[in-house]
Amino acid sequence: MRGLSRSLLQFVCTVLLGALLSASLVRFAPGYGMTEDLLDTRLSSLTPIDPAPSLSAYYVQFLAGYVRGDLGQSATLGRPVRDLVAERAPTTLTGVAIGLTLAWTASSLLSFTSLYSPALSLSLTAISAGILQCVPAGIVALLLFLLGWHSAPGAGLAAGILVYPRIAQYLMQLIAQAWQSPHVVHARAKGLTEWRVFLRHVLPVCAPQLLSLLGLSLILSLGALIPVEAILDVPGIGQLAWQAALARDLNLLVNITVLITALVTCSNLLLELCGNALRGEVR
Amino acid sequence: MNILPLALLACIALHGETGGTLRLAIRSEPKTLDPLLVADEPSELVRYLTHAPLIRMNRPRQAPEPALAESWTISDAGRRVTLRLRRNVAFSDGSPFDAADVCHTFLRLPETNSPSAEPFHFAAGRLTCHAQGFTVILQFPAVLTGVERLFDAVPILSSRSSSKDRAGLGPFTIVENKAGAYIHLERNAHYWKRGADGRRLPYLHAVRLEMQRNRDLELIRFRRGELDLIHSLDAESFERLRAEAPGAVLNLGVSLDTEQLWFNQAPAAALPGYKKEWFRSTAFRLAVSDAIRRADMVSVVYRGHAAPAFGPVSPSNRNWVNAAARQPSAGPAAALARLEKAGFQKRGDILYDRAGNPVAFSLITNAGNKSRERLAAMVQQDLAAIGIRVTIAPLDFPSLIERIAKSFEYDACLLGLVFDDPDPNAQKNVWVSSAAQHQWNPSQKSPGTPWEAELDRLMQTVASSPDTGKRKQAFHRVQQIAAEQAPFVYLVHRNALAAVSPRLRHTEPAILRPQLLWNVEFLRIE
Repeated sequence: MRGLSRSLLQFVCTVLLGALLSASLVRFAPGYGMTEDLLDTRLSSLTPIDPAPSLSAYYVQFLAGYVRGDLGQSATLGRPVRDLVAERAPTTLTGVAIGLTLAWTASSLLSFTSLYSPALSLSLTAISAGILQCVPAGIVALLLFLLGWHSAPGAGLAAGILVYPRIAQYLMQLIAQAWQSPHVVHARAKGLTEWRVFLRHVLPVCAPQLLSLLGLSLILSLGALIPVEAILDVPGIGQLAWQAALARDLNLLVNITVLITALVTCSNLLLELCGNALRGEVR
Repeated sequence: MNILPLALLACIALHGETGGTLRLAIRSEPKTLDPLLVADEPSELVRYLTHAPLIRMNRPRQAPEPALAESWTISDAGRRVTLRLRRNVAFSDGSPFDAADVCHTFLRLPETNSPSAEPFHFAAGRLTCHAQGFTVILQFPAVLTGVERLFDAVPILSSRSSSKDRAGLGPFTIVENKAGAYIHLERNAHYWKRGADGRRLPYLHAVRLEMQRNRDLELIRFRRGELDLIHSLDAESFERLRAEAPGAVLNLGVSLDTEQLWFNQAPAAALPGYKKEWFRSTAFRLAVSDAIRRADMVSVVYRGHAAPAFGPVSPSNRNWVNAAARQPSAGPAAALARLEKAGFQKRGDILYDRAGNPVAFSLITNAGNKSRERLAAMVQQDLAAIGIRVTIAPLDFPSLIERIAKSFEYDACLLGLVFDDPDPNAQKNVWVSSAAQHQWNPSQKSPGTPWEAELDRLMQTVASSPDTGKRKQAFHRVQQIAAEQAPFVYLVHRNALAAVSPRLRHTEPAILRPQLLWNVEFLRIE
């Protein structure tokens, strides 16, 4: 119980700190409060420049809004942040789901080949991950655009391609280490089949780390989707974050930061709890 | 048996004439769908497609033409406009249109904060509107020169429709707005205009505005046939597309827009005294102007699709351009001679001022605009020939705006001005010293120099005189002062370049926005 409350406190603090950090970065960024309307020759006077509220005043106002359930208004799009996020979240979540499924499936398939030919499996992983790691997110997105994949599944595919190298390399290392562990060597010496050893002895040992890797891959895919959605013009949270950053849309950017921080912290928390439970079982 | 094929053919022909979806890209999400509040280009396009004004500008002729008003008369030196409205017109939701809607719209304007409403910003109660059946009399407290042109940007709203601003009198109506992705518009079944064949317009069934920020990707989609037109192409893309499909590109001619650079003359600028002195020196500014080879810019940066700019008015604005004030640049030798006369001296490859300071400044422009970055590079090269060292600093737009409009932390800036109206009133806020767009020294309490005081007086005449001859004379003098003082060093007027699918018919291109869509009700997709 105490552990759970500590984790919850940690969650709240991380989210609040993330929001404050994001607000500080946007508030003090050059060009804050400036819009292209200010160069409109049809206007004789400048549209009043945002009086730039102090960071502390903004933050108090922001938290008070949260307590009331009001996420505020986007300065550049002139719409409630809640609506913007609600409209775009399904697109990004679809992208994340597709990306993670593809990356994990490909990595898992490669790791299974280690049952038959560890050397081939390691080589395939090193080559495929090495090549894909060198390709920038922008190039992957452009390639998919040229292939006509400028949609949420296309963004998901791009996220999968970008996240795959990290997952594949780590997964392969993890499994290779597990194959070397004394109890696995002992099990193989006793004549158990490779599949049985893999399922009964290798996977349970790797499970806690795999859960951590799952959390990490979620963060990576969300990060990858920001430039990908912006380039492919996919209307998701990533595209919204990109636009908000370019336009210095304080409220929108802080809310997106809070959303992503909450999502990542929450999933990490859950995975940690699952990992702890598994570790107990393995012991 | 013979009737069936004939009927099928008739159906196909009919479908070819009235159906089809026009697809084009907009580069950002419209900031508002409230037709009276629009300020950005995508919002203006949506307003143009979904609402109608009383009087519309015929873009190719650059002259007003009847829209919801069948006819109008202007009296009391431009203070009173009497309009006779069309009958049997209905909004997109079916509610009827009459004089009450016109008064409802115009009486909202003085409180509306938008560029198109700004000319109507009179004190409360001073703008009056009298509705008499289908006749409306608008009485303004001051002279509004070219008032009928201003009506083009005023959409008439319904005073009684339950859907308020959504009910429009334009050819299309919004049926779906997927944030960040597209806006789908379908033909307004109640649209008032009819074609020459007596059929209700528009011919198109729908218009789909796809949000596509990246211009290169927009071009790829056009090539694939996913988009039917591109409104503004850069010269490089235009040439590439012309090589592939000559029939798909359109050169609409020299636009009204300008590309120019200016030096920071704001007294509040935190610049060293000697730099302020250079920038305030007319000889210095004129020498910079003389040293810049605009013809090279036109051929290198714009592949010939631009005209050298020697003043604020484009040569395509034949009614208002002062040809005598358009003096071509004299070249680097003349620039150097002018600088030496003003106390500067070139030693080796470097130009020094009277106090021995090497002449060098930074030039900011907006990052990501390829043409502007290339123009800046050419300015750098041309000025190096007379010993001036220029450092180019591309900045993202918000940072650039902060520097030129708020902090004044810059030496010189290269940017463009966009004009949608050939009338000189469109430039009023550039030349009046108290205006925010008087960019070299904005928002002055009183004019800082005698020539700026003269500009103020001249622009007052341009804005208020009902006599076109006097207005023309005043604006010609404005152009003369601009040439003599060079507060802006004009570089080029770029051409309006577009790409159109061969499937799109009945376009009547114009250099004024929306160039290819201004007669959207007549367009057809085959």
